[in-house]
Formats: sequence, structure tokens, C-alpha cells
Amino acid sequence: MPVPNLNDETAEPQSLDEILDWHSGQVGALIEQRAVTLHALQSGSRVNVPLAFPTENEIESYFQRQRRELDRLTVLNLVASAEATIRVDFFHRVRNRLKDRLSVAYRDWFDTLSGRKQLRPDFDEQGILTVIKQVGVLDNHLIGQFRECLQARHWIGHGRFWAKPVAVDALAPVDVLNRANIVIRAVTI
Amino acid sequence: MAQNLAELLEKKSHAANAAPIDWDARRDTYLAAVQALYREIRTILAGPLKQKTVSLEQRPKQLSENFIGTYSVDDLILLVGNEQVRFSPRGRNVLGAAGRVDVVGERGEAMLILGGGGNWEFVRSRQPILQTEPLSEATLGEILQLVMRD
Repeated sequence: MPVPNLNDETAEPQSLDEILDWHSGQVGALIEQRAVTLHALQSGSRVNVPLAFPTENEIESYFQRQRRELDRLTVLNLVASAEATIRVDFFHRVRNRLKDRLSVAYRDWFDTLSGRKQLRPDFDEQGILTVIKQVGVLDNHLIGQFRECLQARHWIGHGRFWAKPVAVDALAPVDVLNRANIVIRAVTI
Repeated sequence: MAQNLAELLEKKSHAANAAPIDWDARRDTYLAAVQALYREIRTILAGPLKQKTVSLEQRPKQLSENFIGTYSVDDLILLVGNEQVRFSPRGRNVLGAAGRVDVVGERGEAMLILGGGGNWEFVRSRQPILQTEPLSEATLGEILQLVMRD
């Protein structure tokens, strides 16, 4: 059974909480830098921002862009982490031939895949999430909400060169964390 | 008023008193510097103005800045043929300078900043190294070439 090595020493898995903690730290740093920058505007002191002689509006706009980018990269990381968690659980169930409904459904579907696909099975459409939906371990609308996060991740992670999905601006990192946590708690051991 | 709130406001009040900023004076100094800039431009362009190759107009506008409030300042419009270049004050409160005037043409924009010594400087490049040059006939020519159509 061609199951990928999930315990490589170079792997750097991140939990959702680690990612959100990083986000909180970066938000704090941005707030601090904004305050220092706005104070420098009054006092005339030097401050390191990559803007040439900005007005207050330009400074505010700059920090809004930084925050938006931070949120997007956090969403990317959160969804990637959630996918990794679900994939690792998937391989655990398949490899160990667990007997519960979801594990059996996973294995039945896994056996239909080609060798290459068994190493990296699809995740969203016609993939692991579809099997989860068919087994019914989670309300469909909750899977649908998580799929919206996948659309945002896909757009951010692949160059943003097509129309921006509504989810990108609609979902804050904490929303993505909550939606991902619901799926992870329902389907992982 | 709750004790904690009163203490907070008292502390902030003392912090502000340590270095009071005269915002009206900052605004007035900036406005005077903008007028001095416009006089300098008129002096540099005295020849073309006399020959009516170019003309200059001042048009009032409102600027609003935190602490300073709303005040009136003029844009200076340079008309050359069927093209115009606008010298547009952006405000006193800019990071790293004592004021800014943007030069907006049909092909691009340039920036003039007010240095600590009260002199206007052209921001020649921002990256990778910030380079500024004092405003002069040569730099004004450079600016106009930068922002005007070919």
C-alpha cells in the first residue's frame, strides 16, 4: 500500500493554534509599529517604514495593506494546516485498517485510486472531503463552510490572478480557524 | 469620574505638557514655505512667463490634517501649451519632512519635500537609496521632464 512517509524529520507541521498565535503576535507588532510611526509624524523622530515622506492617510493605508496581507497569509496557513491534519488522519485510518464507518469508506475509496493518486489523493472535489460528506459524519453545510475556506486558500496560494472569491474578504483568520476546527474535531481521531 | 480614568487622563495630560506642539505655528510655517516655493518657481520661470511660453495660476483648495484641522492652501498650476502641471500641497504632517508638495503631470508625479532648514528638495529616487536634490532651475527642469508628456 503506497502511503507517504508522514514522519519525516524535515517536516514542520503547524497546529491551528500555533498559526493563530503567530498571527496575534504579528498583529501586535503592526499595531505597535503603527503607533510609533504616527507618533514620529508628530515628533519628527526617525522611523523605519518603506514609504517616502508619507502623509497620515498614506501611513494608515500602508498599515491597512499590511494587516490585510497578514490575514491572507494566515488564512493560507490555517487551511493548509487543516488539510494536512485531515490527510494525516486519513492515512492513519487507511494504513491501520480501522473499522469505523469513516475509516472503511476511506479505505474503499483509497483502493479505487491509482498508485500515484494513493500517494496524494484529491482533497476537495471527488476527494477526501467528498468521502466525508458521503459518510455523513458532519452536516453538509459545515463541510460547505470549510470548502469556502479552501477557495480562499486556493486563490491566495496560486497567485491571485483570477476573480477574487467572496470568501477572501469575508473570512477573518478566526472564522477560518473555527470552521477548520469543526471539521477536524468531527473527522479526526 | 472613576479614579482609574481620572488618573489615566492626568498622566496623559502631563505627558503632553512635556513637549507641547504648536500646531498653528507648524501650519503657518508650512503655508509660508509653500508660498516661498511658488515665488521661487515664478523666479525660475521668469523668462518663459515674460515670453508667455508658460503661464501660472493659483487655485485654492482645502486640506485637513489631524491636530491642525482644515485650512486653505493653493495649488499652483503651470500651463504649457495644452498641457498642465499641478504643484499640489499634500500637507504639513509627513513623515521625515516638514511638509510636502506633489508635482502632478499627465505622465507622472514627483515629490518636493520641505527640509528641516526650510528649503525645498526634489525627491529624485526612493529606492534603493533615498536621494534628494535642492530645488533649482536644473531640478525643476528635471521634474517637468519627468511628469510631462514626451
